[in-house]
Amino acid sequence: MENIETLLQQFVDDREQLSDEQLDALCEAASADALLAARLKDQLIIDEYLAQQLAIDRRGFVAQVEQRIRDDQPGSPEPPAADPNIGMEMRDLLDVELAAQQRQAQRRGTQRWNWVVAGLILLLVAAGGGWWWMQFMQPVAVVEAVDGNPSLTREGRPAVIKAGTSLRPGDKIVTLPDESVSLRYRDGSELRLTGDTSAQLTPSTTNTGKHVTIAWGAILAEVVPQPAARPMQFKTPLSVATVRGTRLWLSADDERTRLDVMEGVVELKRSSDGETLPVRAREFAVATPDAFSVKPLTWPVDRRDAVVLLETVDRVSQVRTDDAGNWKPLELRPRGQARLDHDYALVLAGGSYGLHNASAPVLDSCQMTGELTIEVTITPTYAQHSQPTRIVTCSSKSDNYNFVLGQRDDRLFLRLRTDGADSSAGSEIELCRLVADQPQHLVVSYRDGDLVCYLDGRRVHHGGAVRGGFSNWERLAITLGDDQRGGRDWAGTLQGLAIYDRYIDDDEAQRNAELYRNLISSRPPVPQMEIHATLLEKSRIPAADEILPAKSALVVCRWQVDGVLTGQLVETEVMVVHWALLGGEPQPIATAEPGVQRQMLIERFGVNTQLEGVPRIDDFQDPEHRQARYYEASNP
Amino acid sequence: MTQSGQKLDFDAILRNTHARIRAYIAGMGIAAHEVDDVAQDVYLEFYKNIDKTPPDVAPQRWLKGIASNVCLNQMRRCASRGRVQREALAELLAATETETFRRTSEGTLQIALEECCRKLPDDSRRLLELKYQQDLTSDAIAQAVSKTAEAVRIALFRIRATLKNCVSKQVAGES
Repeated sequence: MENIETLLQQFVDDREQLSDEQLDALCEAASADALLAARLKDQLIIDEYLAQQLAIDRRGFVAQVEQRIRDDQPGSPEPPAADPNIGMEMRDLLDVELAAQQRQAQRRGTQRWNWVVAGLILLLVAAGGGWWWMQFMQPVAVVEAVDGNPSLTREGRPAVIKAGTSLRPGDKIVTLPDESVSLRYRDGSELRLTGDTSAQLTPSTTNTGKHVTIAWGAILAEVVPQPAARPMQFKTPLSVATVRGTRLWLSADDERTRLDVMEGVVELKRSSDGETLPVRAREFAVATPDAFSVKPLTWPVDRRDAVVLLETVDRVSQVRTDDAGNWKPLELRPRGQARLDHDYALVLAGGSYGLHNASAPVLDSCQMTGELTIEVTITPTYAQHSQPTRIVTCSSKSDNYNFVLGQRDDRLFLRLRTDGADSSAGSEIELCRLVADQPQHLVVSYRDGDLVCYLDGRRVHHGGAVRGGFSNWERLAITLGDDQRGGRDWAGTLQGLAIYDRYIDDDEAQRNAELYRNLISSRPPVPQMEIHATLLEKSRIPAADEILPAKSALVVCRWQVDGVLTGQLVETEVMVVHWALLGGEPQPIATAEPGVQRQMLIERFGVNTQLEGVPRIDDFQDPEHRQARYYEASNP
Repeated sequence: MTQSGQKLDFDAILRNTHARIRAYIAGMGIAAHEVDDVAQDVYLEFYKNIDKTPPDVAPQRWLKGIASNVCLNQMRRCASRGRVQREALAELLAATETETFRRTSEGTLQIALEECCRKLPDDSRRLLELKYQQDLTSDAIAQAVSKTAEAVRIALFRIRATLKNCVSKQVAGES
């Protein structure tokens, strides 16, 4: 037998480790020696306090008790009906059937059928038990992906969690910051736990659907349509969200629940008073003990630490001027052929926009934190750029920059200047592939030793080679679509730009991608037609000094439609509005002669409200030519 | 007392006593991973019968009584082996008073413990992190730090003893 000291250590280490004999010995020693008993108790108590203080999954105890009490209230789902009742019902049935059979057997003078019926009923009992097992014990979901080292607790014991792990009712998953777990239910519904989160697949007390209890943290859920009688429910310390099929993000702690709904409708009930609010697509709700409200969702989800925000020029376009959170309008200065499209997004082919008053705030803020995030939604015109081009850049020329986010070939790259000693700082880092003609939401985020890139919310790059802060940054201009001095022109459309002085995580990147995608899809569609046409007549082309102080002007031309390549157009002749001057420079239409043939993309001029106020020469005012105008949306 | 009044009282009691009641349950030798489940049962029982709490008994003392019963029931229900020994040990531990924990108020001990943890050498803090934060077994910790599991158990035992002494001194100093 080991000495008592060893037993003491083993018992504190794992209460279930000792054999009966070892426990006997420990009991005997503790009974005989009060000091030893006190030492053992001290060890157990210190062990417990340390666990309370350090173990993530030991937090939220108060919320767990409150949840238990709520579950225990009248009106809460009943305790498992199938477990005791099925057995009892089957036993009752067995008794009744046996009694009936006995009476029958007495009449017939035989009891052989008793055994047959009893056998059948036992089979039913077994089937009932099997059904119960199927409902309550079978895996309900499977882990699709694991990032980091999250923990799984099953029946109170730690269990291995990795891609492919089956999850059962009652399983509890805890993720720490920078960790995540993605899981999929049998019906295809998906959950993603991110950051500092504790969630439990609550054992459904009746067959009422999927239940998840979130003690704290955040989940992103894509729930396929659920049966009306068995909706999915997410319980938080303060509320219950009932979901019948939707995409949502839910974050919770003891003090607050926030629910963002991207699609569908979710019913959010505050547990304390039973108040229920419907939260619809593109809305979010916040429930606290004192407040409960629903508001429209805005992009980005968290504006803290944003220095530049440019959703589209007509909506949010501002720069933070101080740490107190004061903002002023962003001064955007177009150069070359840069212009706005019908969504007020920036069209950058052949030109650029300078963010005139953003340079100093970005420099000051990022130097202070040593962190930087650039979030932007781009639609590249070309799949390939053989030369490196500039999408978002803080530079004066190619070899003098703070940061450069650009496209070379079909790749997005970053060049970042840091004061770190590592040689890779400043080199061109390839981040992901880009495709032409499709909006792509990008987030590039850096902190010392971490560089990540998200494409449409998915992490596509994570590197640790770049180190250091930004103490060596210079006061250089921020330009969209080219270097400040030109020569690195990028062709495409840019919107949804946010520059932050902090690093952002998977969860926020994914939610912002989702929000911006929703924002784009909520805009009314603008039909476009690609036509092949011959110029018949054009309006007078204004001289540059004629339109001062404006530098750009539009002209209306009459075209004969030779063919419609895409879209629908019934007219055989169209009046198209073209850029005649952009940034003071004459555009190709200025020199085009009647009879010239062109292929162009056109759309209704009336939807292009961004062109209001731009000088327009229209020499076709006679009644014969007063039909609707189109606008050439392709590059001049 | 109204229902909401009861709830308010309960909330306050829960928040003010849970750390100590959980420690009390652990101090009876309940397995570490069962402590919170048992403690939840204790508070649920207390909540259901809050009216029955004698007015002259402090809620914490009443909760300890409930905890003792719930712990012993839990052992009777769950222990597949060593049930008798565990019960005996639990009763013995429940009856054992430790001066440090008796004298401290809720919150004081946690603060003292936090302070004492900060004073530990780096390698001790690392062991605590592996044991409690990462929830590793002594075998797994042994692999991580290239020691034997027994050496890890001894080291942790000593660290806890050091912390207990440190906490005692801090509490004594304050009192």
